[in-house]
Amino acid sequence: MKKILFLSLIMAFAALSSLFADDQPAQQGNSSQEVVVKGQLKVKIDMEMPDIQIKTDTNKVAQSSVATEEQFLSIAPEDVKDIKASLPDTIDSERAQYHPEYSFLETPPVFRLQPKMPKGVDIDRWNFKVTDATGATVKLDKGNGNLPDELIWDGFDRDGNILKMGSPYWYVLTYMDKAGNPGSARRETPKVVNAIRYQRDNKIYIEISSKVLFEEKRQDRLTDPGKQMLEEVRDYMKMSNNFPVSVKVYSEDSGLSGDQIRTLEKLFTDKLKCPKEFFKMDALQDNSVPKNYRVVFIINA
Amino acid sequence: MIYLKYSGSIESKEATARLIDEFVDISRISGWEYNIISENFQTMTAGQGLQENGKYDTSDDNDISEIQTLSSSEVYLEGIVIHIRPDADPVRLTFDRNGKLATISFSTTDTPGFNKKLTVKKYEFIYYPFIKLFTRDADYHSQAVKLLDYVKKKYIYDLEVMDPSYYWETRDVEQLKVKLWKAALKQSII
Repeated sequence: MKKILFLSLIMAFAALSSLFADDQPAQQGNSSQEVVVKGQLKVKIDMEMPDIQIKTDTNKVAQSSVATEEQFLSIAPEDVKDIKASLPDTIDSERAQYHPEYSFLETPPVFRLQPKMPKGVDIDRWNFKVTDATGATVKLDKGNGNLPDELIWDGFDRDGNILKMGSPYWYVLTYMDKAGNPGSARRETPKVVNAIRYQRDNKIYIEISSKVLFEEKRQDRLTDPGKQMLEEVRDYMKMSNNFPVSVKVYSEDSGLSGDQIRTLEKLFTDKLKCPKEFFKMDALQDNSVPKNYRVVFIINA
Repeated sequence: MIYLKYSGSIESKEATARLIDEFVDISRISGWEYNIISENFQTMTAGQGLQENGKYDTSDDNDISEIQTLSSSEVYLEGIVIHIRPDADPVRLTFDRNGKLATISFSTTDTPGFNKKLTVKKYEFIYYPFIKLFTRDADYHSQAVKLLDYVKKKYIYDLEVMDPSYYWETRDVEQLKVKLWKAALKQSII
């Protein structure tokens, strides 16, 4: 009985195992079959191919990138190309000294005297005057008693105008001592200022004589020292970084002034990399005596 | 009165201009009147520049020997006249065309022409190659000498001053005062 039961169990096991062995390949065959799901479509996704196919060529991308950089550097200020060179040597409140070797611009005072009288001489009255090329007095100081420690002329005349560029100026100090002896000290060689920088109304004024800025025969062409002077002017513009800069060109006629303006524009835009919009230029005629042909830069401080 | 007679030459026109300019300033700070002289025959005036009717005293024999007559084309005088005091002789620093200290006086005579319709004015110019200044008191004399001192030091290096009181040489004020007192007593010019 037990034997029969045992045999029947073995047979049942064998039957089951054969059944499972048949099932496995049957399952693999079922996964590749289509599964049909019946029902209503709820989400429909429409896809469209783009009209233009974008083909990218890595070489071309790299080239255009280099070209862009070169282009950028070509329009960038000189100093961007070389970071070391881009740094000014020193900076003060007014000037970033990109060209510390340039110091063409004088600053007031034009005359500074420290008179020293011999011992035992007591001054009773004195008179200090500055005269221009016509002999006219542009500055007059006078006083009683001993002379002050310093006698100064800031370069402005009685009407508040700055001295004329390229024009000679002299000073004379005259005095009378208490014993009635007159005396004087005079500047023998005239002082001529060709370029000056001064401040007024919170603006930096730079005036440069046309004699040094432009060639004598071709007055619309810049001289080499003139170009250097303009580079120094640019230092002040950079430090101010407040545009537009007003430029007034004075010459014997407004036509020549216009030509000189075009020369300046070309230099500033091409060589000094300052855009044209950074300037507001005026061509003006100057009929003053003595002549005062000059270029005036007015920079907002 | 005592006179100061001085002569000499300035080196250039520029120096003359500087001298004028400087003495204008000195006059201004000292409160003195002054006249700038620029005279020739065309612009001549009988003011501070040319002396009309030859007012100069020529008591010295030397003076007479030095005086010359000039033609109208030679009339030229440039410089400054400083009035230290309104009641005294001014200090003249005027120069001729050659830069020599000088003064020029002139006189005019009117000669009636034919049929008396035309009058001819005749000028006679007298040239003095020196300048003469008369002083009445020691202070003024001394002040004038100080100005001449300065002129000699800075502009007229060959300046020669003739001072009968010898104050120019000695700077002795007491002696000057005595001389002036004696001159006043005699009512004469020393």
